[in-house]
Amino acid sequence: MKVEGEREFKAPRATVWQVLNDPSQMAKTMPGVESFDVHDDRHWTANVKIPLGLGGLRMSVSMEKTDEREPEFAKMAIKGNGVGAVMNMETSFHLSEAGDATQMKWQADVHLLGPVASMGQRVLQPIVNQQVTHVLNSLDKQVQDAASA
Amino acid sequence: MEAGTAEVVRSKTVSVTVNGTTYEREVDARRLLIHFLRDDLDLTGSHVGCDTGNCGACSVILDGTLIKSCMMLAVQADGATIETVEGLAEGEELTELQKSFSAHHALQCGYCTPGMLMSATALLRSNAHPTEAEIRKAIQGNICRCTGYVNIVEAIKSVGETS
Amino acid sequence: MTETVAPPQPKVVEPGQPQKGWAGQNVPRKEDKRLVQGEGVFFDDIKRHEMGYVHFVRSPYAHARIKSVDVSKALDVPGVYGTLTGDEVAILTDPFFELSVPPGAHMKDYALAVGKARFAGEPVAAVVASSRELARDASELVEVEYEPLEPLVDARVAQEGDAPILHDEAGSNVVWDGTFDWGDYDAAAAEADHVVKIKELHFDRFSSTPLECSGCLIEYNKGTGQWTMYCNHQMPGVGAIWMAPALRVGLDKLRFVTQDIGGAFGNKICLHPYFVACCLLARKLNRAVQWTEWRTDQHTANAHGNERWFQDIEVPVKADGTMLGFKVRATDDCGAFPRYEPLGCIIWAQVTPGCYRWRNIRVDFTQVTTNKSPVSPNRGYSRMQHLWLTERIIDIVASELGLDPVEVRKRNYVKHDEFPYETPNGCIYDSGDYARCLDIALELIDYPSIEQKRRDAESRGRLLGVGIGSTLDSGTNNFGQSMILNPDLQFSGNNEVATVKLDIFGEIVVTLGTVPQGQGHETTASQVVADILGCSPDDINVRPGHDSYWNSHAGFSGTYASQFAVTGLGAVKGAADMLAGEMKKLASVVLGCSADDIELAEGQARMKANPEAALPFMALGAILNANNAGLPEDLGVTLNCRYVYRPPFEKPDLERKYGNLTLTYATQIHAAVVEVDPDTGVYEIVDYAAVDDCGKRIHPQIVEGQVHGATAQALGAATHETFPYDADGNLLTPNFYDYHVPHALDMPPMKNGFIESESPFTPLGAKGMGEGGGAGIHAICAALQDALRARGKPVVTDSCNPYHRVWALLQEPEASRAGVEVVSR
Repeated sequence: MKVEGEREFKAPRATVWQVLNDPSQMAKTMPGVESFDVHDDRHWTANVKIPLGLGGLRMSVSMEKTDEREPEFAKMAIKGNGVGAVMNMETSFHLSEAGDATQMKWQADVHLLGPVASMGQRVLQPIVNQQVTHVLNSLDKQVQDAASA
Repeated sequence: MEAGTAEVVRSKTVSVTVNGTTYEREVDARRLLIHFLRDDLDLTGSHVGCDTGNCGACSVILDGTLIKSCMMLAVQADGATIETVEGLAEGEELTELQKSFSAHHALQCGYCTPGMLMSATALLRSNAHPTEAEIRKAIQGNICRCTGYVNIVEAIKSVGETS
Repeated sequence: MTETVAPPQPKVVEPGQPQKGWAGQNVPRKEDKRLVQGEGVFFDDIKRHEMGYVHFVRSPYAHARIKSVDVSKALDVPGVYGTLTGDEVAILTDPFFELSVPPGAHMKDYALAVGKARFAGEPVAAVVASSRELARDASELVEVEYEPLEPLVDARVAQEGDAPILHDEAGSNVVWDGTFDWGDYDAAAAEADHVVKIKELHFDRFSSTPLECSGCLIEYNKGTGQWTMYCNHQMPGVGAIWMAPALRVGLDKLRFVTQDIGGAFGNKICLHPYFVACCLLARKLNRAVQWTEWRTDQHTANAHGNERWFQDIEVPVKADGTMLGFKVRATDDCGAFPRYEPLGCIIWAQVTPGCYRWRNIRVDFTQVTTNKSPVSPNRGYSRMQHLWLTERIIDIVASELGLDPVEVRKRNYVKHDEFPYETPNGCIYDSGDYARCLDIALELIDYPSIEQKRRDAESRGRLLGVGIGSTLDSGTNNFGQSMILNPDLQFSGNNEVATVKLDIFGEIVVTLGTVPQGQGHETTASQVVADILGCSPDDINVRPGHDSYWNSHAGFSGTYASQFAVTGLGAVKGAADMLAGEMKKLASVVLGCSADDIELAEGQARMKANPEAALPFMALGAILNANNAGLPEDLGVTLNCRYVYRPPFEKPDLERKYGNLTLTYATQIHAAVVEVDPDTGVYEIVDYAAVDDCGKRIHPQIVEGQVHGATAQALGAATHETFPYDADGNLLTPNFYDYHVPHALDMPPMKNGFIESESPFTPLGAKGMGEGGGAGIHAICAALQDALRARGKPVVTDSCNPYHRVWALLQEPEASRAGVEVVSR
């Protein structure tokens, strides 16, 4: 499924770019992160728990930055594996200056496979929407913290 | 106890009375009641037809209530009194319901039949003369792929009419 | 061909009419006593000490290369007995026998995925452990690395240049393709007053989802190399033909043992991949292994019914409504592996013109693989899809040309006095009276009152519609039709075996070559034998189930394809006739008369002229087996008779794709009345009639039960049952949580009618009839289209019409009409 959107951050573009490209900061925006490891500036892995079903769905997730054009564009490939679920996702964002603020256009192509995908179809969209909202809100907070620092 | 420090209990000894006989067995904590009946107690009359509690092939009567035994853990049945299809007939003497099922050709492959009989038994205990609509509602939770339910409803109705 | 006699008038059977003999009566079923007490033996009821439970690791990807499979973590778990991977399977077995010509012939199929996963849920590895739960846990520790590939989920684009190819060795997604051309379609089109063109119709994927899942308990005898499989395979003859060469052993090393089976409906024919995996495990671990399919596995990874697209349909019609023929391009979606396919590419030809007298028919047929569950001969197999096409054509043409759907059917039906009727491709419809069945169905739903009911529904804000579904249940295949698809296949004709013996204490014992799953074979066999031997069905012991070690069987033995009443009972009759002859001969020797002077009645062999001179069966059995000194040397009596019934078939003409493909044709004509809520698309079936004609009914209650059951399955398929896939190849109805099958409240009020047009070609005048032919689907589609007429005349183009689809037809009737065009002279 494809999701996309736009968000405005009240901070300069350089600040937003810096937050988005700092693995340790990005990890804090991800929902349900239980641990994360940075391997280099393009690769990192994490263990996450997504709220789906009793006890949540645990996945081990690996991320790779596949493309970037500082300070305006980056693209990532994300793979996740859990019990009964495999996730493959490609996401990218585009930053442009909007006065003192920054406009971010983002998109993600999410593929979910396995019994969880078969049975969870009707709850998938609401959960994806919920996760996206969570990420964007956390991102906003990270950006504000960085801007005021 | 504080959350997170509870000892993990992997098995438990349960005592269950089935069709008048009391069994005491140690059972895996996550073992379903239907598997306990079929595998531990060798009562293979109740059947498994699905993974999600939709088909009713596993229906039994527990403490007087019709339940789907795949939707209960064996440990939850500790101390309970259970009736399964094997306990319906008295020795060689089939019940009126069982005879009616045969007379009306209410079974073909027989796989849903134990669950159907338990649902019908539970219905007739609470409502001795059910209407067709009440019968259909009572067996709504029992899937049959062979009969189209026509003769099953007739068989149950016939018992209600002649009792 | 033996001389055929058409029966003078079909017999309309009233309930309660006295019948001569046991055949034709509703005797109590022998199977019931054990089944109503829960004492049936289904394979999962059987246990072996220390057996291992099998759980399969399955691909989440619909299409992916398998880069590595690591079972080491699973093997480390205490209680895990062992594992099996695709690499082992590729070394230890040969690919399964493929029925098709190239490209299908080059597709390789193994017990586990080898190198590639081709549908979501395909088994990739197996884990065996001391409990069901532990096997499942351990399977989660198996690590499989996949390289995802693009999945193909639409058969219509399987042949396009950029479509993903599932089987690299075949180089194509085409399993089989060919053109069938009978009569002269172009001449028909030239003669027509109108040609109705229909762009696309779609027969949806669904299956009969038997309540008992597939499975087996397999033991391996290390000393003899014999596998014993307690299972629910419904066609062990064919199962062995696939498994033995794959395992590189002789057929006799595979013993199939079945007793009670919880429904099969064609879904327990292609179990050989799973069984081979379990055979390998039983041998590798030197331990009995047990596998029971989960419901989710049955829906995702066992078998579906064939999905079929019909495109570019053209129907030439005369002004008076006479239909001259049709042409169509059919694309069949058989999922990831052919298996029993491509037989579906020819089996529809048993009913090429449906119930109608079309003489000019052209079908371009292609079958392709897609990244979906493989298919197997689900109830109605391939004929149902084609008969749905013919019924949709009749209704759409009638609607577009303003013809009455009842009149146009009667005008075009094969007429009662035309039987036996030869179809354009050489099939012989043995007997029937379609117009009569239709009249009975219409009477049962009080057809004359429909217009009044329509107005009444309108006043309540509802749209009422009535629809007819005519169908045929062709039974007893001529397997020679497979040669039309692949001339190198060495299959033709058909057969079935039965043995009947008289034991020492006078017990009559019957063994069947068939594998019953609820059809009451023990009961009907005993009726036939009792009539021949002059005793009661209670005196006959029919061995329950089938054991290939002990039950005599033949190449085509099994229970499938609506044929038991002909082949199974034909074999039983033959064996019983042989036994009766032997009993009379033996009695004549003992009583000192000629065999013609002897009759079998009331459990005795006695002289017709002097019934006091009688030998009870027990005496005959005892004399021959235990007290036989002094009997003539050339007596030639064993009292243990085996008979192979072979239906009269010729090999088809492969060039013209012509010949008799099935022996019998049962009829079912249904009528449905629906009421649609125009605001929501929700509809209710408010009246329903099903009329059946299957020739002589051996046990009318059993026949009626089959009609009920087939109707329920058809109604499920018409409204709720479907197997849709998303773009990633995930099945969206993977178990009963989402796949809704009818329950008791879903069933409409159903009325039944029966006539008996005996078959001139069968030993008992009976015809096979279990599959039904999907009449319920045809009738519901017709009723919905009729109900929606007033709202822009939308066209029903899908076999499955859930409420949201009906709502869409109501919202945008023009969209459905866009594919229909009438070209008039």
